[in-house]
Amino acid sequence: MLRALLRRLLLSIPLLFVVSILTFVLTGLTPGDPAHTILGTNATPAAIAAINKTLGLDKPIWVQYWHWLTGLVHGDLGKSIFSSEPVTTILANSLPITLTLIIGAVIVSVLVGIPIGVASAQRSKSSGQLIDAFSLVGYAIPPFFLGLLLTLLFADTLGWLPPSGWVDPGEDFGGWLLSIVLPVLTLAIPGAAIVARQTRQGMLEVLSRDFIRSLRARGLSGRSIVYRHALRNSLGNVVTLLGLYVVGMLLGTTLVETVFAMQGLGSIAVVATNQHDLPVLEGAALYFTIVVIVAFAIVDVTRAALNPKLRTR
Amino acid sequence: MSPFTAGHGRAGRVPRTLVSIGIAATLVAGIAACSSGGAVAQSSSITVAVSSAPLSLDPAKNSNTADSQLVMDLAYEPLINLASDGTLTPGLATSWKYTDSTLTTFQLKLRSGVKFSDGSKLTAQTVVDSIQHEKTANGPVAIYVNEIKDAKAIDAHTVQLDLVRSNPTIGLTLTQRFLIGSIVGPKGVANPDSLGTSTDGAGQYMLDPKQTVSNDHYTFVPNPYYYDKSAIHFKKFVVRVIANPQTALSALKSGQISYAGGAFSTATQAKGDGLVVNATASSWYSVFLFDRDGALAPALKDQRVRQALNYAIDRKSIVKALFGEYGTPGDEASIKGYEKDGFDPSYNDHYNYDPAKAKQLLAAAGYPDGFTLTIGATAVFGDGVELAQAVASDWAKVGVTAKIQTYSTVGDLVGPWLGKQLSGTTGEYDAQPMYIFIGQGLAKDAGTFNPFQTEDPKLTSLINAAYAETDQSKLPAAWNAIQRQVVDLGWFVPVGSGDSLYYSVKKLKGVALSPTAFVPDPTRFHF
Repeated sequence: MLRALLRRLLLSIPLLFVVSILTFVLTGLTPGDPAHTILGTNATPAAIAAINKTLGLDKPIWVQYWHWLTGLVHGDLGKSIFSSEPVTTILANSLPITLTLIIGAVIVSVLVGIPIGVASAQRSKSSGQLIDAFSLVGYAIPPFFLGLLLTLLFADTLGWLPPSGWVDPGEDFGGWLLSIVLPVLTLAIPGAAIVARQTRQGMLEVLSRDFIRSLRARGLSGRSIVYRHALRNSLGNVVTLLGLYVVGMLLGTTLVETVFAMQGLGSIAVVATNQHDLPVLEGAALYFTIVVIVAFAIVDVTRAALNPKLRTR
Repeated sequence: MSPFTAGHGRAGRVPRTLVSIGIAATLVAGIAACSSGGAVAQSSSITVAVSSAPLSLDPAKNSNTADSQLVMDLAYEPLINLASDGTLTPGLATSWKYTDSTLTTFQLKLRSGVKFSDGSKLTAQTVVDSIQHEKTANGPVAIYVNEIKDAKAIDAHTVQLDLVRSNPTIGLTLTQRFLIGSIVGPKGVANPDSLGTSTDGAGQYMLDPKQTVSNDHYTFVPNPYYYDKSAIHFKKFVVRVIANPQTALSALKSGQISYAGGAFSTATQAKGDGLVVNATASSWYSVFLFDRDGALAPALKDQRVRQALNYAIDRKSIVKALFGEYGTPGDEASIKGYEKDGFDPSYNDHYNYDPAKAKQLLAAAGYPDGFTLTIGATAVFGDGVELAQAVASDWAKVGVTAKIQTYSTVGDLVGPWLGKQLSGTTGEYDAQPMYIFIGQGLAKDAGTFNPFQTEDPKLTSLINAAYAETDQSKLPAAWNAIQRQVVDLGWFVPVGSGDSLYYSVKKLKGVALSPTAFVPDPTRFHF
């Protein structure tokens, strides 16, 4: 297992390399550039040329890439074209926000989705249909819209929760908790629906196997059969699905961060894309890729913990 | 024990669920009670919102949009202050005057005892150095600072500006509205990169980098060296970036913020929610026809065709649909409030909605079946996409097909616009005195708003006459003559003026604005 993990981590190095090249090339191919962003409707050809020269953007793209890559080797991701702030500082501010939302959403999805899935697997067919409907609605509803609905209810109407902003937990822990409730819920509701559906399907499949009948025949309690055997055996697919969901959530956080005015990785990436701030965009793309790699590594480890057969591979 | 455990009865499950909800609600309420997160700002501090972060904290590299201006106003006091009624009042300079009859030399007397937030003294030389910094920065405001040929320190507190030509508006240009009068301190000028994450102005406040996260929120604290401490109303001034207008509205309602920029789409809701909607006419919205020589769409070379495009649109309906009560139909390249600077009330509504006349003009020009043109649009520049669709719909009724190319950002639009790939664009233009508008949109070498460098002999003659006019009392008539010729030429297809909108909570005072000073000065805010 450890060897497989190490192999995966080694393979991620060329992946990061490819992502960085793709980001550079795709950004170069999209219309617009930082000079036009800076100058806006006050742009003149002479001013554009002057800014491009100052920023080194008049050089061929491979020269710019090489310059960025040599900086990266020394741990320097460059500076924002606009604020001159080091990219590492910008990302260090935004990464905790995105990670908090993702981890929070995964926790809530698991805590809500698994019990619902387990319970419905032991009940009537109609409860399964209810779970299916919940799953469909949860998956289909756009995070942007769901976020606005939750804001309308819990912030605008009831006034229970703040409608926007990130609070530093070091400064105000209570404020931080309140600030993440709505964005985490926005991301977790579809997640819980998916987890519930997958758990139910997995449980139904496992509960119909022969070894469950054997366990019942040996007199094990229903509770022990459900939690120690059936649930454990059906969680492998749930974990894999959660891994994929985390990847999907990276896009979701971009929208949710916009709705709740939080400057996470997604928001930073959107602003950098609109401004053609290549150093920040490159940094954000790298961080996103690392999050994906780590998410899949966690999936592998968790699956191995649940299934001893996988540990020997 | 889970409430969903197999074998548990229904009677035992429901109360536990209720208990769980109760516990959760109590926790939320408890956290809310001990948190300061959702509370209305205290009188010692204020939080406001802008829809986008400033491009830079260096006035020389910033754009003079409403959002940027708000942030700059806090840290950088301008040489001349633009009061909310549009009059020029003392800022870092206490007096100013032209020193020659040709309006090409301008002197400013600086306030004594002023210090920047870095502790350095304001002198004539620091002003000269700051202006030089603006000239070399090649930022968005370079087009304004390039009106200054040379800046000289006459003595310790007197600055002389030599202008490239007779310029009756240099005083206005040195206000906070155009940023070039926002003077940067010597340390900032010496190290411009430092102005990405800090400020160095002589304004009421200075940025606190420790309490600031770029693109998220900017925290300002009082400048300990400000010359009039009694004018500072807050111990902390926080500017948050909230891009989504609906989120900004929720933040206002909840008391998270006290002020934010508005939008036509949310103004009615804001009013209904008990917020104050501060509004003033500020911009004219238009199709800017660039292809006046017909390089892309040959039909546009004919003045009758351009006039037909103006007659073909129903301005009243378009303005009502797009701006509601916050717009006024019009067809001049200016707005009410600029009567001395190029808005001619007697010539407004020159092109009354008349599709039949539009068809006649098209036929007379040799295009009885209409023609096709391509215009660019972006939603973030004067609600450009909606405006383009509305205009295109009316044009279609007279046989003219407008292909609309949409872009995500202004920067993305400006590339093909300057690259002469578009016959025009939709957008808004913050009303300017005619002198400034000539430099941006009418002169042959105007640049952005005349990318094909079109020249009309009569217009050039009128512009030259205005430039040569040194009797300021005669200038309004000269500007009006230019406006009438611009309307006749049909270089633009304006639909009318739209308001700048700002929302504030009722207890916030000092939010004042006018067509010339259409961005409220945040240093005047108080509870």
